This record gives sequence, C-alpha cells and structure tokens, in this order.
Amino acid sequence: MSRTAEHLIVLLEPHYNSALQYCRGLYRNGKDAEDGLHDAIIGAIQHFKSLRDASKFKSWFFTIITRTFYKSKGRQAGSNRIFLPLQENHHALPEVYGEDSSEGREKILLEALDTLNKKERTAILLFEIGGLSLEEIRKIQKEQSVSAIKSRLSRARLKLRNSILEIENIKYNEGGYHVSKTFIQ
Amino acid sequence: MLARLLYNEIDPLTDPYWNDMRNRDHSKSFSAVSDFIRQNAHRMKRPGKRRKHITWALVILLPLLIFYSCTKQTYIEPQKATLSFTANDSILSTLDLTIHQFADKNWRAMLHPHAGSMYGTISAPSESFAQLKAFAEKLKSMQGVTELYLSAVSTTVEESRLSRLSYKIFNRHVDAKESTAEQLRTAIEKKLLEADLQNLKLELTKANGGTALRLVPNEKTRDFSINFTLPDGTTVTAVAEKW
Repeated sequence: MSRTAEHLIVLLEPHYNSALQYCRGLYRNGKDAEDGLHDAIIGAIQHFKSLRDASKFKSWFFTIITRTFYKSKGRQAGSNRIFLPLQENHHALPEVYGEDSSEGREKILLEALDTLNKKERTAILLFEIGGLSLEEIRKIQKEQSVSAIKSRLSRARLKLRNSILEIENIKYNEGGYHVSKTFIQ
Repeated sequence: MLARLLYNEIDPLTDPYWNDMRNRDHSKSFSAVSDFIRQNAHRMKRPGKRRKHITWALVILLPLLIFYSCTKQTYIEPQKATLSFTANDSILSTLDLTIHQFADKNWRAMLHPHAGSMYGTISAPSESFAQLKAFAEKLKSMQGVTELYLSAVSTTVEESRLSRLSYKIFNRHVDAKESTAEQLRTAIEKKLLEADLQNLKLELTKANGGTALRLVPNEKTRDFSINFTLPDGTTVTAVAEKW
C-alpha cells in the first residue's frame, strides 16, 4: 500500500492530543517539548512508508517520540564535547505549546516528573497519558518481561507521590498554590 | 479505566494531577501541524531502499575485499642478527661486564677461550639489531678485540594480507620453507664464487631445529661484505672488518 502525507495526517488526528501531552510530559519546558515533537514528526514522515500495520500507528508514533527523547537526553549528556552534530532548523514547525502556560497541578506534576529517570518517566507517561498497554510499553522500552515494566511503574509512582507531597508541602507552607488537603493526607 | 481500577493503579493523590494533564487540549494546533506534514512530505523515504543499497554495496565490495585480502604478497622479514668476535683472553672480565650492560634476555652469548684468545658469538632477534650494533661499536672501541663480524638474516615470506594481519594481531609464527644443508651449501658457494670470495670457508651446523651458517675468512680475505638470497628466501648479509 502506498502511503502519503494525507494517510499520516488521518492516522495522527485521533492520537494528536495525547501525543502532544506525552511529549510535554517528557521534556522540562515547552520549547524543548516543541523541538522534540518536531524531530518526532520528521522521523514519522521519513519512516511512515515502513509502517506495515496502520492499527499499530499509535504505539509506532509513541515509540518515535520516546526514541527522540532518549536521543535528546544523549545529546545533553554529551554537550561538553568539542564537536557537536549540526542541528536542523526547527523554525518550520508551528508553535504548538505556546508560552509555557502549565500551571497549578500540571506544573507540580511536571516538576515531580523531573525527579524520575528517563525510563521511569517514559514508562509512567506512556501508561498514564498515552494509555498504552504494559505489553506495548515493554516493546517500546525493549524489556524482556512485562514484570520489569510493572515494577518500574510501581517505583515511578512511589517516587512521584513522594515528590508531589514534598513540593505541595513546600508550596502550601509558602502560601503558593492552593491544593485540596484531602489529597495530601 | 476499569482495568486500572481493578489493578489498583489509580492513586487518589496523583490521579487529579494526571487528569489535569490529560484534560489539557492541544488539538487547536492540529491543522497547522497537518500543513507542516504536507510541506515535508518529500522527506518520506521508500521502505527498504537503504537496505537495498547496503546489499548492493556488499555484493560489490565483498568479492573485492576477499580478493584483496587473499592475494599473496612477498614480504621480507628480518629474522635475527649475529655478532662474532675474537678477543684476547685478558679482557674477559671487561667483555663480560660490557655484554651484561647491553644484553637483554633474548640474546644468546657463547664464549670459547682457546690458547690465549677467545672466540665469541652473540645471536639476537631482529628487533635487537640496533642494540647489537651499538654493542659492536662499543667492542670496536675496546683494546684487545681483534676481529668483529656482524651479520643480519632476513627471510622472504610469501603470504596473503589476511594471513599477515592475523600474524600481526595474534602474533602467529610463520615458518619459511627450509632448504636442505646440501642445497644451502651449493647455493652459498655459488654466490661466494660470484662475489669472488671463494677463499671463505663455509661452515654449516644444525642447531635449534635450523641451520646456522658461518663464513670463516682466511689470512688473505680479512675484510668482506656480502649480501645474497638463499633458495628458501633467506637473505644473508655478512660484513667482516678487521682493524
């Protein structure tokens, strides 16, 4: 089957919002998330013709976003190198997140996500935001067993919970964001 | 959602935070992103094109590589160096000290005292040739050393690049084909005759699984220099000086 840009747009539309939410959760700020999304979309365009089963588009696209995120982390780790690969011009992608407008609980969640390592972060975001199954996450993270993903998710949840409690406590004491106390207890 | 509830995966603390993120609507930008995809549609790659290129490159390059690595080449490999000298018996202790100064564990030194003088032979691997030469220079400066012969032996080896590479990586030993003593004698005597050095006496002795050759000059032929290749590919360079 010959695939065109229109096919890609049709397949992307139902998952567009969750893909953007996922991408936003992965990166520290809106600008980085936009860059990551741009790279992921370019990657999807380049490899779209090799997608065999259209029903697996969602996990395929989320895999591309995840790989792009891992690559960007690798680039950050090697930022002290003398020679860096030339980056492509990112201006062509329209602004999707706008000004970093995350606020309230979303902002706290993003702050708490920062305390997780990249695998825990992607696993929990794929599960909570992407709605992917454990098996799909296992494939994306190239793990041998689903139980590895389960324990990763459980670890990530615990860390996230503790981080949120810590941040909320600080914010509450500072009289910043008002958060319902029932969630803190 | 039901599955998540059943597996107790909804955390009452964190779920409202997740819900806030899930409820964030980004779909307004979809039309702009769609236009971006249309503009970049030319970037779509044909599936398997890269694999085809790699396959073709392998089909062409592999036979070339095999041919290149398996074609036999001729290399000259230095094998060992020998230093022979004659000295007065009286300088034995000085000589011994000098040998200990220069020698390393791969050197083989033999000293034969005979009727007030001493005949010595030192064999060293080709890597120590420079060191052996330095030792010969030192001997030249010593009083009591009467004769000095320094010779280097190298072998012509015919082998493929692949074999040579494996030799370099794994330090595999390559044995050159050895000639019989008679073949050697005939070949050397012919070379000596060609070089007008027929007065040199040739001694061939079997040692360490190989054949060692020694050219002994008589009274008339004291200084000589000869370089020849034996039938088995061994190149012999012999220089003798008297001072």
